[in-house]
Amino acid sequence: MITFDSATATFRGPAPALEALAAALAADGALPEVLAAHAPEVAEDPAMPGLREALATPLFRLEITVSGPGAQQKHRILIGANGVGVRRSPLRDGHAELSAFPLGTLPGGMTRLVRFLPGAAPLPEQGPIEVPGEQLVQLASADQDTRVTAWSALAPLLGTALGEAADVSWQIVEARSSWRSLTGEDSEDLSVQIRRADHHLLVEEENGSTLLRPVTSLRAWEELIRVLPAHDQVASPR
Amino acid sequence: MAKLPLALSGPFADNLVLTLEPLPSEAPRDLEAIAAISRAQQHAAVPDLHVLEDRSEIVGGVPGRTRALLQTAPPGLTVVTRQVFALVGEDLVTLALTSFPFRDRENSALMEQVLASFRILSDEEVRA
Repeated sequence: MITFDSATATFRGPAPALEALAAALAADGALPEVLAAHAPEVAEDPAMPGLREALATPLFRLEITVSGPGAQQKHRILIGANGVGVRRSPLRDGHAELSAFPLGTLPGGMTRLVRFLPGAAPLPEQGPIEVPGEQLVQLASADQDTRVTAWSALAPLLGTALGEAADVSWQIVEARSSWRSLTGEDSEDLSVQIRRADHHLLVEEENGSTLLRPVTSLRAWEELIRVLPAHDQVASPR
Repeated sequence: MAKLPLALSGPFADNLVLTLEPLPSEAPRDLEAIAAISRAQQHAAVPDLHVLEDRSEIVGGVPGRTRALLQTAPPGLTVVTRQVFALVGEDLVTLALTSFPFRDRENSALMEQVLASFRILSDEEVRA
């Protein structure tokens, strides 16, 4: 069953049913008919027209994947031409949520989605750390055992370079944005970063090598936010 | 201290503020204690405060602290505040840039430029 929380403009329900609802909301049908077909228990709400308009007129899209030892979460966000954002996020037990929010709160929303934490500043002698690229790919694998094994292989390298970690927590965050440019080309940007306890590291490719660059937490946050296209880069979908 | 012209300042009106605050007699004279109190006050006053950075750093040539935090400003916008502060005698000196993150490249560059030329001088250094 799909429910709607009017306080937070959020639909919740089984993931496949929610996908079908989103597709129907993005199409032209009258709202009462869409709800009757896909969410019969849900009443119309003033937030729904804005959410529909955004789904039908995406200016840009953002996919944020947060992978750690215990879980992996993939959040899909689009921003509509009306300045309304729509986020699809997984919940427990095959459920998901579809939530509307104002564009102006997107940076704060991204920060909370990845559970961003303040960190320590790298020491001047802590330069980029070269790591096997395939280990990073495995770190973001959908398979938990693969992620944990990849971290076990990477952790000693990081320990040598950064010293002992304050705790055992880690996560890798991939943020990928895509949009149609003003000249009509498909464009995208990508930011990948790792947090190991209170150390933040940016993933960089240089001359065929994969590097982890220790940075301050503010610098890591800037890199996450800068994956968003500037307003003068994005073409109107209308 | 500085507010960009409306045409340049974006929907939030990005602003840079320098504060010299004489410490009340009951306040501690220890920067770490002041930092802990001010962070607790910020969390109490701002419902959705999210701290991005909070650590010791040399500020204007003296031991200080750097802090960055997010909050939702009244028009419904996420804003980011980058602030540095230091204890100078009986005064707390704070420099804060509050801005709209969609313009973050310009604003982080602005803060770097300001901090590169920011100096806290003692009376003797000023006279010299």
